[in-house]
Amino acid sequence: MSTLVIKDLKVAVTENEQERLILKGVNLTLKTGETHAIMGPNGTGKSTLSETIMGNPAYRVVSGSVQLDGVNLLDQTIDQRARAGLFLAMQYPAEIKGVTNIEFLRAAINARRADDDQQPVTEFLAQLDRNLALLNMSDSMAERYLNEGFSGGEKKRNEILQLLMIQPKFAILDEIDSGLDIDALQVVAKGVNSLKGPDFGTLMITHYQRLLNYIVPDYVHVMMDGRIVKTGGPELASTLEAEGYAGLRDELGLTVALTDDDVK
Amino acid sequence: MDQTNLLTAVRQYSRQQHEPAWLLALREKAVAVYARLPLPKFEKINYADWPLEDFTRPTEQVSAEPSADLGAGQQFYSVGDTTIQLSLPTEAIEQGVILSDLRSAIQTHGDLVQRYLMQKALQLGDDKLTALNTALMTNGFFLYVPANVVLKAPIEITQYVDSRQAQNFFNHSLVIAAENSRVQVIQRLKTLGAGAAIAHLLVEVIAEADATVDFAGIDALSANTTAYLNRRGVLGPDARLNWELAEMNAGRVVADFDTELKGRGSEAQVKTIAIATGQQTQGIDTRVTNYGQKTTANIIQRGIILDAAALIFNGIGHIVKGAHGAKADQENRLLMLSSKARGDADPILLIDENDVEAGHAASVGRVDEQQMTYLLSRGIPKPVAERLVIRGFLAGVITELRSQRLRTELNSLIERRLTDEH
Ligand SMILES: Nc1ncnc2c1ncn2[C@@H]1O[C@H](COP(=O)(O)OP(=O)(O)OP(=O)(O)O)[C@@H](O)[C@H]1O
Ligand SMILES: [Mg+2]
Repeated sequence: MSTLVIKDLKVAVTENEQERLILKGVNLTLKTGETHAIMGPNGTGKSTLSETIMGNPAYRVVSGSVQLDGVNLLDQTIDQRARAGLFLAMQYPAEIKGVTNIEFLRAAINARRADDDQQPVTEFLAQLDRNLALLNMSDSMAERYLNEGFSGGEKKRNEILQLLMIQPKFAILDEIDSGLDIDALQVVAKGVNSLKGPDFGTLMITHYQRLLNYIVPDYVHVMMDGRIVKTGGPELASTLEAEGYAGLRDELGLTVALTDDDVK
Repeated sequence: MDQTNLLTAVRQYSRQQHEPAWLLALREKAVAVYARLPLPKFEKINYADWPLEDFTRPTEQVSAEPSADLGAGQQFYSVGDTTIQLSLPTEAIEQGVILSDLRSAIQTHGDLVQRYLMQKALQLGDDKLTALNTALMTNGFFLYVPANVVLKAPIEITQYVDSRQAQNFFNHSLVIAAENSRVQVIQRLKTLGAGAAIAHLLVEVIAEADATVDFAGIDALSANTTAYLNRRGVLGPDARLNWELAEMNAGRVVADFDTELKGRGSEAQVKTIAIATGQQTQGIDTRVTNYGQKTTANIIQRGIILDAAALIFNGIGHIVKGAHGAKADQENRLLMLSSKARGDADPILLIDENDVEAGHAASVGRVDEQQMTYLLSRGIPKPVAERLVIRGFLAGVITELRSQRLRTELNSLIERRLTDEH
């Protein structure tokens, strides 16, 4: 079993030469075998948290720690963290012309193996075929340039394909449900659920209860203004869907301004 | 060497070689022209202090055969001035194809050499370095494909600059594809030995009416070789010339790859990839001039610059008056992987006719940070991620190459070029 521990994490971003604190002390512990969901209003810091865990240099850690099985991840580069077992399905995956999906996947898998133990092509292709089938993706998708010209939904599916091929210890899925039609949502959920087991943990970021019907979380966390303000079971998501964030804020007695305060 | 000494040395060499009078006359004229012509102009490259004009008197230099067989499978294989291997398929010989070194072609096919050497593609008076080569050239290859002959298998040429000993390298080659013939040539240029060398290489390609020539030049000279490369093609009516050029040199290089679309309806494609690393400068001028009506020129170039290297692509499209219905298109793109890298991709269009189509695109860019972050986030180490991005960038040209074998060869050459020094 592996554990990812985030302690009192404070993170700032720089915009127009002005530094602004986004995460104001996040505490979160994930274990393999568990599924967590984070919900929260727009601009609250959810993507900031996932990018920081992964090591995106645009996010500056002011204080706090991120440890995987007792090892400090904050000193490590992005690729080291990935090889240590982290995977981030991005909200906006990059497009890379000229690099095929297959080439990219092989490079990613082989980066985790010793030079004299690279994955045999036949084994790779068998694994690829299995996962393409699971995600209802065509062979031609794998031969296309990485995300180039992919529709929003295809990109999301492609993120899950990578997840299935790489088999990390922890997957952070940032709004994997956005832009997916109902059928695609089920396919993506099927992919993630196929990895569920004692050696795999998930942190989902979502705005909608619907995803959680398909990938059922053990814990739901609510983030507001750079902090996790409440943690509960799956029922917390339903409450939020019914009452909105303003209700929760008032219940907790927080003084946070929400972008859409005047909706309810 | 002053002009008088140069002239004496050239005359002496020509006499020793029992060269015909016309060739001596050509060389003498070259010496005269050399003295007064300026260096060829490469925009944005200052190479005046390169030792390209360091040479000794021409002699018949002999290079020892390397112990390893570096010319396996080659139709023509030479080291320095010495031709080590020469072979043609029987079928080609029976059809009258001639492949030899320039030195013997002068003796055995003097009339052909006289008709084409510095007459059709290159001419004396173009520039100083071309003149110097004409004065001092000692060898090269000579390929003649008679009318209507279609060669299926490529003619493969491997030439080594010999840096194991100090010697001149003034190489001059001719490819003549007579009417309605078809030939593929692959010329590989490398350095043998770890010494310093200066290399001058001229290739003249003449594609006569309805002929098709596919010419691949894979140049991989070593870091200690400073080179001037000049490949020039001229096309008759409805002829085609496809250049596929890879500048994988590790040393300083200026290269001129020019094509004259003389015949109506003739067509040239130029595909170039180049990589510059270390402290190296490579400057590549690619020009296609449309003289004939309904002629088509297409240039695509992609280059990668690492470290503190400089790579300059000057793409010149020239449509002259009278070339009605001509088309000239070019795309030059450079990718820089270091903040110290320097790159220029300049399209220069000179259009002197109205009813023509001309287009160009150029860019000099850096690796997209977001792309890098994405690759890294999947555990791919930075050097591998960079190579993937580079490969992707060059794919625009590589995937367009006609032969799968060349594509594979170039991919591994690129891989080696990028891993050797990093
Ligand atoms: N790279 C960045 N540079 C500047 N500002 C940033 C950057 N990333 C995030 N921010 C800012 O930080 C705040 C939190 O953004 P973040 O993307 O983490 O929110 P989120 O909770 O994921 O929102 P959403 O639900 O809309 O995806 C926002 O105000 C955003 O503008
Ligand atoms: Mg977000």
